[in-house]
Amino acid sequence: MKDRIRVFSLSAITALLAVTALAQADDYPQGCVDCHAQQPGKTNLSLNALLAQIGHPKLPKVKKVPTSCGGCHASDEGEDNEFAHMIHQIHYDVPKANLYTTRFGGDCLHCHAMDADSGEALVKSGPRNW
Amino acid sequence: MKKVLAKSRNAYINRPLTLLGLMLLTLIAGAVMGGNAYADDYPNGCVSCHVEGTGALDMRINAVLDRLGHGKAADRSKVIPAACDRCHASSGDGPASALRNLIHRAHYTDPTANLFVTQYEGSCLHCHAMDGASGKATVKSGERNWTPIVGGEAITD
Repeated sequence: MKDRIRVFSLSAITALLAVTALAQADDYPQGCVDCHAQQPGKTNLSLNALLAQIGHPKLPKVKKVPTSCGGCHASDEGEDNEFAHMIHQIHYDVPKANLYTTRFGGDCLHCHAMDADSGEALVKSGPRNW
Repeated sequence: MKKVLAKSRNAYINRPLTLLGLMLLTLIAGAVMGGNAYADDYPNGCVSCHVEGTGALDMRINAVLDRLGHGKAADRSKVIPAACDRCHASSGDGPASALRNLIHRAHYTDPTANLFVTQYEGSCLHCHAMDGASGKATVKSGERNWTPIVGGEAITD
């Protein structure tokens, strides 16, 4: 009987740990392209489709997003065209109406990763999905 | 007696207008609470969370730093964390390492055990503010919530 209790306890602990590990997993390891994807039967939210809608030039040289965007969009502090500010604006302006916060549960860590060893906050990236 | 109770209920609960009023009040309260869901629970950053507490470990910055053996310089810092830049410059050029990386490490190392994450549901926006209109992410700050003692005297200004 004691063995059964031990086995049951171990199973329960293992299951709990597995659930915890899953909860800690990053659902968006590649940042932009993990959310901005084309899904069957839904509005195409891939970045090339969205940018085409707003008249952005085509993106033949973009291979990694958002790293390649830095070819034109400077990220230096103080630059008017700072890419970081623009992306923040798009995702956080009018938070009561912005779909990123209202529908998608938008959070800093969807796009950023925290390297806890160095303490550096990073920008996630991934290969283009178009 | 039963008749009196029944009459009482009819008088106060079964009136359609009373019920309608209660429903409206509930809706208004819901709307107000919903609006507050966007309120910032930690408008002053560090000092909004790091408080003395009641019957618990003193978590004010000066107490925490004292336990870590940090120098007394922190006692004289008035605005937290802006004043920390005096030594912990963000550029990394100060006499001590940049505050940003230290603070990130303190709050995110070992996220499965770190109290900031596990107990306080720590989020970037506890310490940072996002100005959606400009897109600028800033560091919140607030006045120290302790009274420094220098030479045995309390410094109040």
